[in-house]
Amino acid sequence: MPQADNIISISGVTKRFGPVSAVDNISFNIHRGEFFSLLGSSGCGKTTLLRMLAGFEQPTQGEVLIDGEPMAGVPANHRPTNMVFQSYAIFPHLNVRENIGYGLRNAGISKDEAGKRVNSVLELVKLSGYGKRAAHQLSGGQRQRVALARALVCRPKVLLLDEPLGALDKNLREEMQIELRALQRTVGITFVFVTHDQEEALTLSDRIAVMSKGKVLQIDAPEALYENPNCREVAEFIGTMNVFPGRIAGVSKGQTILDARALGSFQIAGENPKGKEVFLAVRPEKLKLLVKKPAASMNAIAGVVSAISYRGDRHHFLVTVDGHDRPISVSQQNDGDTKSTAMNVGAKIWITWPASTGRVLSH
Amino acid sequence: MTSPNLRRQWPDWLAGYALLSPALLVMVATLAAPVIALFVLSFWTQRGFDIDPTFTLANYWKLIEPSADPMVWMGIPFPFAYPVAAILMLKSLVMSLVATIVVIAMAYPMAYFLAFRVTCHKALWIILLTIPFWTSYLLRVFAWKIVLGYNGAINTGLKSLGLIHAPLEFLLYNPIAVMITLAHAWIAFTVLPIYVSLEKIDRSLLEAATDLGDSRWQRFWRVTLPLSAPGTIAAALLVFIPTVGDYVTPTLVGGPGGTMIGTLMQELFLRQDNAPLGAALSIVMMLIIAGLVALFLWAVGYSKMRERSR
Amino acid sequence: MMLGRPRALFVYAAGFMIFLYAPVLLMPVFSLNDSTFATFPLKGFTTRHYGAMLANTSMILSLKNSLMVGVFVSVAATAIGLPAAIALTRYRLPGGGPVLSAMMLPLVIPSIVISVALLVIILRFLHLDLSLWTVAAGHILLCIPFSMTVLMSRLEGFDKSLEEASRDLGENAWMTFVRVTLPLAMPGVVSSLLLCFITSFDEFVIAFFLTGTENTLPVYLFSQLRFPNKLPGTLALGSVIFVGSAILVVAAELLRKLGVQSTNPGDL
Repeated sequence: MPQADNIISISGVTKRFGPVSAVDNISFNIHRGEFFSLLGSSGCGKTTLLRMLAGFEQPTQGEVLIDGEPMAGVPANHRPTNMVFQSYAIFPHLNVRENIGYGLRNAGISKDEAGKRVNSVLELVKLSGYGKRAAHQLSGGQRQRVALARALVCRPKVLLLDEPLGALDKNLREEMQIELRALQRTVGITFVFVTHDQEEALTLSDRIAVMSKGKVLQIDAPEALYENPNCREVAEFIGTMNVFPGRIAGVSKGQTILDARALGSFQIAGENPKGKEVFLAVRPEKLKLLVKKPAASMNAIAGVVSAISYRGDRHHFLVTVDGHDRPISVSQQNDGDTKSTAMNVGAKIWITWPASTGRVLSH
Repeated sequence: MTSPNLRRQWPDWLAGYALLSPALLVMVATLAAPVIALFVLSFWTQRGFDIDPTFTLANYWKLIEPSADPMVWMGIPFPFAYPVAAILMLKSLVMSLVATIVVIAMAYPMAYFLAFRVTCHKALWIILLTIPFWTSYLLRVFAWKIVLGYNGAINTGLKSLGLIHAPLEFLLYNPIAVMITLAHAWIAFTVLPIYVSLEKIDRSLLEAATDLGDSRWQRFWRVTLPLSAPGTIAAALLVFIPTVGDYVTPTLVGGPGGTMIGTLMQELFLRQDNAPLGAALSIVMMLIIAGLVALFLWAVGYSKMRERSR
Repeated sequence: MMLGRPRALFVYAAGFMIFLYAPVLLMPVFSLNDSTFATFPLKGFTTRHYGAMLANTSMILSLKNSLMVGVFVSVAATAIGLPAAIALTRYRLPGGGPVLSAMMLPLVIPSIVISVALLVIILRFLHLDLSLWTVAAGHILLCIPFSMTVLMSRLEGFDKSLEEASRDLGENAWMTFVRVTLPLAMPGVVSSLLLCFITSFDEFVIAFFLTGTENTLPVYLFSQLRFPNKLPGTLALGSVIFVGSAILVVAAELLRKLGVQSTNPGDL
């Protein structure tokens, strides 16, 4: 990416609260116009990072540039960012129009123009006709739209969203996800979105930064993050992952042979340095269950089914394998005939997968 | 919106303390400095209308100066040359303690009722309990003078009902009258803190106790009471500490037998004009109260108790 | 088995309320009684004691003094308490806890100690004269814990992110205070004004020690208690003070409750 395309550039940013580093030496860039998510479990530092972009926290070390301008010492009210708060922070003493128009008073635009902008943004979030409502007369979804409209009407260079869908119930949340994504395409503003919900992040984002303990583990597009995680923590945070420790025994013709000790040896696509201790990672849906031992060209492990759970569109199997401490997760499409009677709890079966679906993780 | 405005923000703590500064200034000027002045004065001497600012411990010595023949008061010997202060100090502490115990014993069931039994008109009950809290302390004490007096409501009421023929003289002007009045005057301060500590208790804890086999009483002793203890102790201290030095109640309903340490302080400052001795007495009183409170809190393990009930 | 029977507890509570109010309510009863003594049986209804009270110039003068001190103290204590309450609820302050505890000290120090300590520094160290100003100084100290408690509970009652939202939408610290914090804190501010006023208006010990030649109403009332023949007038005055204070307290409490409700019902 050329330099000009970065709307936000974070370099070496650390934030300490007393002895605790909430954000620990983070550097990355966010591109202009993208939908960028900060994903991680609670306490990973994602909200602190967002608040440093908004100007509510000052970095202990490091620098934040927004559209090329250094932000050190620039207070929140002078930054080209606006925020949608987790609690929505709708002013209870103002009505919907007054809430949305709040930030326009300082922007130096006429009352007429401000009124027009409020009208058009009300239409954008489908709240025309709600302008005179008081804050406490709104439903959760409507409050969320007002918070969004109030931030967008200021035409920020970056819109910051702090878990804005967390307070909504599941159906409304899925509906708002679609709307939010469509809205971002319409207005073309860069969105920085904080969430702990990995499915939400995968659905919405152009790129995702996965955070843990104040560090960024990986930044990638959703698909790349799922298919090619760069470490066990990312792999296990996004979806489920089966992980087998082992040593690279050899490389031949674009294929790596992994010595997984008691489990046998496996083939993995791609070349890796010989002798290294690594982990082989395979997603549950890439595994297949067979009643009979497969052909030698396939990776295979023998095991016993220890639990089966029914998930509607698929079945989820846990398979116990000698020499492996955790049961292996296998997910099978519910295509009507996969789960034959031969695959009940206690059945001896074979797990198999092609070399192309395994990934090598160094840590 | 654009950023040539690079004016540095004040750090959080500096801005916070700037906002706090007027309040801190008032606290220093009207509390810290006067108490220090009181402390300094307690080492000086009053000579007629003048003060001799030579350092001396004579005022403190006067409070504990031994005497050959101890004065006996209510069977307790006080071996001091100036035993009035010690007697009044002890008497004040005992009277406050009794009043505090009475207040807590009376307020706790009321607070319990408010927290667990009142379902409708709760705001009305709370306001009714709040009104005495804020209205004139002087008037509430004065009201008891009318109730208990020689020609007061109880005496004349009983007389007009024909139950007694001569007024009961023991009602007013004695330590019992002081303690009743103290209890009444301060009880409004205690119901609300105890109520708050009861109201905060997660109702599912009580359900859990019942679910695990506790009877109502067991549940009360094992869950409700321990969890409301910090609020109750705070309420007790809120009564005990100020009442030790109370001046209004003993003056109005105490009579000669019901005087307390506050009465002596007032006399030393305003009548006898021996402010340095009064200052020493004030300092000693504050130290004794602080010491007793600290000892009590340590004995019941208050800090641990508070952490647990967070 | 008191806890076992809710009805017993209700009877107790009713008795408690009677104990709390009966002595105080005897004051208005006797003040309307056509007699110089506060005795049963009641003689007849009269309002002459109230008429006599209004004609009493020294009482009116001390009422005026009390009103002046009360208004000044309530405005000053609230004006000092509001920024302090904002600092303690909205800023990360090292030592915030101890500072708050220190501010609550006047609640637990016997007022006679506050009085004599102020008396000593004013007369012996600063060599100033006692006046209504010195009374007001003592009352401001006494009111700060009340003002702080009321304002802090109000400020904690609404979401801190409302103020952040205002900053985020381009307002500076002062305008955020004017447009968001102050309107939302207003019920607490009015409540603090009322409660500080009542506290100062009803306070006796500090006023008794620190006033110069001018009396406040409680000090005047106290001086009248010594004269049995002035009892009916005193009772009338006491009744008026009690009813007036009670009305202000109810107003302050209702305001606090209403204020809290109006910001919360939207939460789902």
